Amino acid sequence: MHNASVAEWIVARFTTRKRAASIVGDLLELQSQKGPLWFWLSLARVALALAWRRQLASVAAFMFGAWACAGLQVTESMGTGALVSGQLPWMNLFWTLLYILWFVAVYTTIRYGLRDRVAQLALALTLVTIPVVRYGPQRGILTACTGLSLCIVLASLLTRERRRAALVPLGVAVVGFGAGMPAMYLADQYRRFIVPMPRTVAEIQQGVQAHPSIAWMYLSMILATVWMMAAACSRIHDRLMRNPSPDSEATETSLSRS
Amino acid sequence: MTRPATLGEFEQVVLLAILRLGESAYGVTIRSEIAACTGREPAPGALYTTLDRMEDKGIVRSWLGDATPQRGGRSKRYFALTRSGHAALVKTQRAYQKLLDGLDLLGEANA
Repeated sequence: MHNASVAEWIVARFTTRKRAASIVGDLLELQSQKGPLWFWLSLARVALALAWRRQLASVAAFMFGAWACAGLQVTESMGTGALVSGQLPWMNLFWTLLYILWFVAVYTTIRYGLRDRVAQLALALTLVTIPVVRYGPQRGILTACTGLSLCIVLASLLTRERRRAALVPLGVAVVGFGAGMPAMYLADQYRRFIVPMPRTVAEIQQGVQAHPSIAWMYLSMILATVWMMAAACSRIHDRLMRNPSPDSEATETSLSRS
Repeated sequence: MTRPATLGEFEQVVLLAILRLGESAYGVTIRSEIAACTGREPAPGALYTTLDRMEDKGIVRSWLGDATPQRGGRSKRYFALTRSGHAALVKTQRAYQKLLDGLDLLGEANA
């Protein structure tokens, strides 16, 4: 029985506790006919099947999350002064939002597939922003891309399912800024503590190279932010996009009753 | 009114097995029903991820049933089609039926 509890704990890492218990129960029922080796091999296959999309999505989206953190770091370091002088780093905020959008596009496409509404919306918006990245923020391109983006956003307001899908990138952006700014602030404070008063980018880079712990501090803060963004994306998606049909409400009721 | 969901091949196989089993459709019986009808045992990972995905899409619903000592006191999770799942399956099967109309494919195979 102890082995079954371990098996249930493993599967519960990748799905809900109740689903994990029923899966392990099914495997235990067949174990008497097929043996313990079959049980553990099947368990490994179930765990792998449940986990691979989430893990691959997190790894693939990490790069965009890290770029978003770099944008947040610059915004954070300019932030106080920019607020005082009234010159917010708009372009930097734009790039940060863009990277968060790309993060959502990559993460949801791998995790939920191309049929998913959130993935479709994020990919459509991502495609529209590519000309801005390719040709730079020229007036004509910016106007055309902003117009197209607005059309996509307006189209996403037409049905309830699409409106819910539009809330996912918005929620991830809020979490990205909410978690990323303090994380980058902490990393910056640590760098200033180790190497006080750098002014230019070259000096900052020298400071980072001067002590390896600074690079590790930045990396851990980036990892924490990306993890929070991935968790937010996953949770908001699951909360908003699950069980679209009315009679599936009975499922939740029956599961919670048991 | 929402459009019926589109179904993949394995999703259809699982839904038909659930329909055939009626009230007694849970992981073990669905697996053995598919094996008995198709001659191929589905991988446990594929079956459970498909069931979870279809439940998240509202194609099937599930509820917890009785627990047996054989299962280490763990409950069975029974499955049934929702209205939208039923509509999606009917739509897909109609499309197959239309494609089969005028073909003597099954007769040729039996000959």
